Amino acid sequence: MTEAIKLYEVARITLRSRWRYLWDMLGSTLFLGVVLFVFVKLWTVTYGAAGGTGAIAGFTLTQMIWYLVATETIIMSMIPIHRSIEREIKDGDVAIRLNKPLSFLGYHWSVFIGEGMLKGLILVLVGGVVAFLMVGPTEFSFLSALPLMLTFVLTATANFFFGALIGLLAFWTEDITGFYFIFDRLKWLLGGFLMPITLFPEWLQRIVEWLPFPLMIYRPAELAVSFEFSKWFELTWKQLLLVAGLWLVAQVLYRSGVRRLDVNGG
Amino acid sequence: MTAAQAPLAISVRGLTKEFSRVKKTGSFLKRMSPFSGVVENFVALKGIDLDVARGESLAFIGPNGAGKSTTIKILTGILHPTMGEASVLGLTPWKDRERLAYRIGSVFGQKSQLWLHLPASDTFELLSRVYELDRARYHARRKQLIELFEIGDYADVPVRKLSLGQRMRCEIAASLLHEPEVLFLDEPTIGLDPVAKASIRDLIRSANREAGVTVFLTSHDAGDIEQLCRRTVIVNQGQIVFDGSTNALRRDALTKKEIDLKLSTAIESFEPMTGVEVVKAKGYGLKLSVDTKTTGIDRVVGELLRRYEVEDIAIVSPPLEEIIATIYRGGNR
Repeated sequence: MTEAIKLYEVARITLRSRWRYLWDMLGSTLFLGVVLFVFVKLWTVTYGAAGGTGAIAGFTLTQMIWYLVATETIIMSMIPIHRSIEREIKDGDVAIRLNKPLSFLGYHWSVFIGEGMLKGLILVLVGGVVAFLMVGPTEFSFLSALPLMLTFVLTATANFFFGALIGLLAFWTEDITGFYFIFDRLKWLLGGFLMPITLFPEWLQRIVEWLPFPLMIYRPAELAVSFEFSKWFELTWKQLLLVAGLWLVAQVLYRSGVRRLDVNGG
Repeated sequence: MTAAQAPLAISVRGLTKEFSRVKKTGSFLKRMSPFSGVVENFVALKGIDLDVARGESLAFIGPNGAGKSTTIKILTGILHPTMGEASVLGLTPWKDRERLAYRIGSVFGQKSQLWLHLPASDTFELLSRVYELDRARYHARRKQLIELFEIGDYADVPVRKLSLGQRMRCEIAASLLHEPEVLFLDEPTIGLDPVAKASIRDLIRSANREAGVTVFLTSHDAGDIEQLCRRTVIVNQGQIVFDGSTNALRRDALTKKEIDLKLSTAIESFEPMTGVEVVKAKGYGLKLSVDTKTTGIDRVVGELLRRYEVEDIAIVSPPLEEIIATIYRGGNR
């Protein structure tokens, strides 16, 4: 319980700290408007060529644009946690974290969630307004708001551990940029960041279903545009399993990494 | 009870730390390859033994790369040693890091624990939760520190808007919030102006002498050492080369003393004396350096009084900074 209070307090102070730069954050999310505008034009042409108002890969044009709002929100709200962890390990700031009675990974998770919540909210608002103006509203029930918030936290947590695992490699290697680049782009491509995985060829969909990436982008975004409680339950337990697995690996990496911490000098 | 009899806050035996570095040589492609390179071992600490009594104020100093920060990081549980034993307040730092964290505080002069965009009071609030302080105890402690450190005027101003001196006051207050028994200070006055340095030293001194906090300080500033620490340990190339009282370091560590004379008549020439060198001779002033290993200071003074009509005389030890620098260089002790 006390650990939960500590993590909550770290998330709260992160939120307070970032709140002071709300307008800067809002300005930086305007890029999302440009991205959505381009995609609306592209998908309008695609849907037109496909014969008008029907669905492609199970998504109507409106759903497709709102799907993009969801995937962009997921990806753009995540801070580059791999970079923060790598920097702390390399320049010795890890000393400030480790001399407190607080879990290293727990601290970073709280910062990630705290900032992610604020950014996520802004992105949903900006993206929502743009999507609403361009393609109209999507189906949304207020009953789904709370479950979707939990899904956002679990999605963010899975993405956090994914980034943290790469960041923790800094205990062993000088530069993690290459690892991050490869795994992050794989996540984007195979997780359905730019298009739903139902648009992939049949054989690729079968492979992708076995990978963790759709649980980190596609599934939660799809749930956001067509919410069903049965899908939510299925996604939740799968995400819980994924988070538990990633947490376990992160613990092993952290515990063996911190033993070989090499912060020489002041 | 003398320091030697007091219960120990820190006890270290044979502490050794070896770092590995991968050295890359050869062509660009070879240097870029993660599989190339030669592993080089670098010994930062070579079997250090050290005891620090509770309530003691100890300066742990040495040149860059001597192993000071490595020692602090091992004693705070951040680094694991390669060999040896250490106990801080009865706990093994690298095994009981979290338990120990509740009982120690640390200030790294070049790294901040304060949230830059928020007032220091917000960091205090967070730390009160992290250290699980009882609310009443926290509020009383916070009030006490704000008064003692005189930070009431800016505890609610974002840290990034504070001067370095103000930030360091908040930084040390944050480290003392949970009433630690041992305070590790790594260059706490670095970059501060003389006035800010003096006030930070006052605060550390009061934590040590009034609250009984054991102070373990590393600093390159001789003023910090002289004014805060009764005992000094000098470490060089991973080994302890001096361990004694700061006064003894100043008094005995070097065999050189300076004699400053003001004469009644202007000096024209100085007849050489064994073990005596002229530092400066101008007008009525004469400054000599005496190697006390060769010639006793009493004999030199007697000879000077016989030779000259002296208006004023002062025998001074070299500045602590010079003594330390000489020891760092492995010079005369």
